[in-house]
Amino acid sequence: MVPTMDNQESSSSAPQITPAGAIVAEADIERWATEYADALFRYAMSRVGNREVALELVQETFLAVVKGAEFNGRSSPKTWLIGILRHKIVDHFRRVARSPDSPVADPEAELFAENGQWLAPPGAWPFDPSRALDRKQFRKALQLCLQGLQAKRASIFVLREMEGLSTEELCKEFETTTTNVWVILHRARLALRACLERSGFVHGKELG
Amino acid sequence: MMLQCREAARQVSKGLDAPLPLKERLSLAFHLWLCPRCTEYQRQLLALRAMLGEELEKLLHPSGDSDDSLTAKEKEYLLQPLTRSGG
Repeated sequence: MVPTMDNQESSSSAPQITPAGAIVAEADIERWATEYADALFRYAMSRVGNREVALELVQETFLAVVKGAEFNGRSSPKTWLIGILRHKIVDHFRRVARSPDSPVADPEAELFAENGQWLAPPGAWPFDPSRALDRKQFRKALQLCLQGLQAKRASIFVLREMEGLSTEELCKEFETTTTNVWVILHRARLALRACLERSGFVHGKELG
Repeated sequence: MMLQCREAARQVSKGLDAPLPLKERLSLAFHLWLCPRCTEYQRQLLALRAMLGEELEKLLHPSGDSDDSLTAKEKEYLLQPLTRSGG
């Protein structure tokens, strides 16, 4: 589920100067930065949920271009820039996950009874994704809930679900085992769903 | 032995990241058939995944209702160090 963006039309008005396989011309850097800064910022925001961090990551992206990253010409400049940004995002989450965390409870212990039954069964989800307002509220709640997750869980979850990294890629980036990645993702999902439920996006109503 | 919800929830999650071995797939399918709670849990995780995927859609086709636009000041901060000569 790695997202592909190669069908994206470039909205550039002025002709692009930089040929494929070359470092990016200064005029293009300034134009691309002006034109795509907002899109890159939104992309970063949706992953990291923090304006300062998102701004830094976008700036790092453009600085990588200034320092001479070669434009491959296989995709639109915007897609190419998002590709660089994605690497910056992975680096960011790897740094975050390495920072020492206070020990966090295992959500399994909070959500399941001794006998393995749900304590509060997952209720119906009243969220209607086709409504823009719901969607906006959902994004807000999601960002808050992600920020409330243990850093390592949030990092690995975002990279898995939003950046589409495979279990194998996550093992490599975080130098851990497949089983451990599964456990972390499982705990992240349990905790996140429970948090969204508390935010009103799922009702904890009794089913059957 | 019948799968417990706790174990079923683990396998639901694992199934989102890897193909489950046949035996696990069958025992999970049987559990889900009998258990509306875990079925709902699976449905919500899939819905969450779909919505996170749509985030990407939205970024590529911004509708203008986003709070996540750069302010003029942030844009200036971003653009200021980007000239090689000025570097």
